[in-house]
Amino acid sequence: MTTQQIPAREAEGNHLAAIAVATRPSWFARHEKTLLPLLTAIAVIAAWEAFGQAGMINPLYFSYPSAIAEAFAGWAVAGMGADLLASGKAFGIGLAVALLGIPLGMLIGSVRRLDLALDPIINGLYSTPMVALTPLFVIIFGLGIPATAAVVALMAIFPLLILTIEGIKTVDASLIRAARSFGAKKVDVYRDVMFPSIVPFIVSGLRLAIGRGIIGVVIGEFIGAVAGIGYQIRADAGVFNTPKYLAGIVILVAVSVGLNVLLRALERWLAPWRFVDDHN
Amino acid sequence: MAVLEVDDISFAYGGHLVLREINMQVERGEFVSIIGPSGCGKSTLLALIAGMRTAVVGNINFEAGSGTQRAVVFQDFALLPWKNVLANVSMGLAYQRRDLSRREREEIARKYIDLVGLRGFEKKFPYQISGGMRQRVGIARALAVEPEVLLLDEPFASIDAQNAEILRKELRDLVNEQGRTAVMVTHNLDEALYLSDRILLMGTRPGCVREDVVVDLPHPRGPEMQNPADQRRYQELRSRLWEHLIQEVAKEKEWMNSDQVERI
Ligand SMILES: Nc1ncnc2c1ncn2[C@@H]1O[C@H](COP(=O)(O)OP(=O)(O)OP(=O)(O)O)[C@@H](O)[C@H]1O
Ligand SMILES: [Mg+2]
Repeated sequence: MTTQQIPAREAEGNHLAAIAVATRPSWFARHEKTLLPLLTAIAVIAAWEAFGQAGMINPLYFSYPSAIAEAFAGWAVAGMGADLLASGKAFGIGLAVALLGIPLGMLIGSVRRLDLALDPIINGLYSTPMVALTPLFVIIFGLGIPATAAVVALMAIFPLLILTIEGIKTVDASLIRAARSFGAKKVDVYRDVMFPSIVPFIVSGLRLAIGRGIIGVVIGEFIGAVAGIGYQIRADAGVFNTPKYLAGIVILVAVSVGLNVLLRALERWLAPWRFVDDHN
Repeated sequence: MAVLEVDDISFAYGGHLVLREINMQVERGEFVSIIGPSGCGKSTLLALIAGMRTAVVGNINFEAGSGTQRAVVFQDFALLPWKNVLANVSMGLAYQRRDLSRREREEIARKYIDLVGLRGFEKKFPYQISGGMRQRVGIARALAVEPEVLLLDEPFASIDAQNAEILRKELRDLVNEQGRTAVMVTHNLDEALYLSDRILLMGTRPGCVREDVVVDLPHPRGPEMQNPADQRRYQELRSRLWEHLIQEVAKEKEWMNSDQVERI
């Protein structure tokens, strides 16, 4: 085997550049995180549309993308705004109430006896199918946004509560003791040690709360509303308007994806230290 | 008067007596180490002095002064992962010096960051720096509140040997320059001899102070010592500490084999 003689410095520079070029990932590899899911989605939709165009889907039972889009457009100019507003209000109010689960969970998690006393109740309620309570809320609040908001709140509060309590239990006790030894008061400990420790738990709790909250909106509106996306879905299903009914589902999916994207931004804002670049 | 006085302290964890009638006094500017077998209650004693736990019986008195009484350097650093170096070092000041503005507090913190050689790392987070650097942050955080007594619980036990060596020297210089009083728990005999004016030897079951050894040697100590008399004295002291530990461990074994164990 022969060794190629490389003149010092200059050649070495070229050599390193060559390695850099040779090991550089391809354009596709660098963008595969975006491209792969995007291309897959496009392929699925295209296939679905092709089936629809070929007349292989009975419009009574199911629909296909262009028909759904058409129904969507029709709905958009006639009443979708009011439905979105009604659902949005119910979801927003319900989720805002559910956020109380965070401070409540911090309290329960940090008082051992409170946790012991409440644990079975909280877990029992978590597994109770809250949707079964919707008729009750209609009796209490009447048809409308408050009844739906109540279903959302009850659906969403338990994951937040339970995960916050779990999170508080994992807080490193030595950090709390250290903070206290430096003169931290109770509020300081909550703000500087407990809350930052449980941010990942809160984010997971919020993810579940959003999912369950959307279910809450739909179910709540099925029974207890006079407007809203869920209300429309049920109304359209009732008259076999399948394309419009599926357009409602598309909206729900889009909203839930959008909220999860927002959630990731929120996490960055709440816990910037978890995203700090190692080389800055 | 001594700057710190531990007066007949006893302490129990849930009915299990851990410390019994501990007495110790620390004079201003003194460096005192505590050595003893594992589990004899050294960390507990330090936590009591730090005010992180409360004694069942007895008193802990600090000389009446205006400043902060004590600050702790922890074996596992106990830095807040979500705060950068500057915020971690400012932590004690933020809680104790609410009279100062944020700028003033950060100014003090920067001074101590410089002193421990971390200038330029103010914006780094704990996970971005090495173990040795993290303990520098821990030391700066404790010094920044300018405590009457600096408390250290095995401060170099989680750091690699070379960094520990360097940090030990730096700690000595810092404590000297600032005229700080310090109480340190350690398992490392040479570390105790290198840093201390006095070494307390603790016994076990329940924890108690058995001996108070004065380290009558000039600095720097250890391999750097040239004078043969000093070298001999160093070896003498070291053997004495070692003997003590061996004896305590032997007692522990005897105890374990005796029927007293059944009483637990
Ligand atoms: N939080 C606690 N609850 C109950 N018992 C404890 C607790 N912390 C320590 N102990 C017990 O008290 C005794 C003294 O513990 P301590 O940590 O003070 O010992 P130590 O001398 O620092 O030991 P080491 O050298 O291993 O660090 C041990 O028997 C230990 O098991
Ligand atoms: Mg210990």
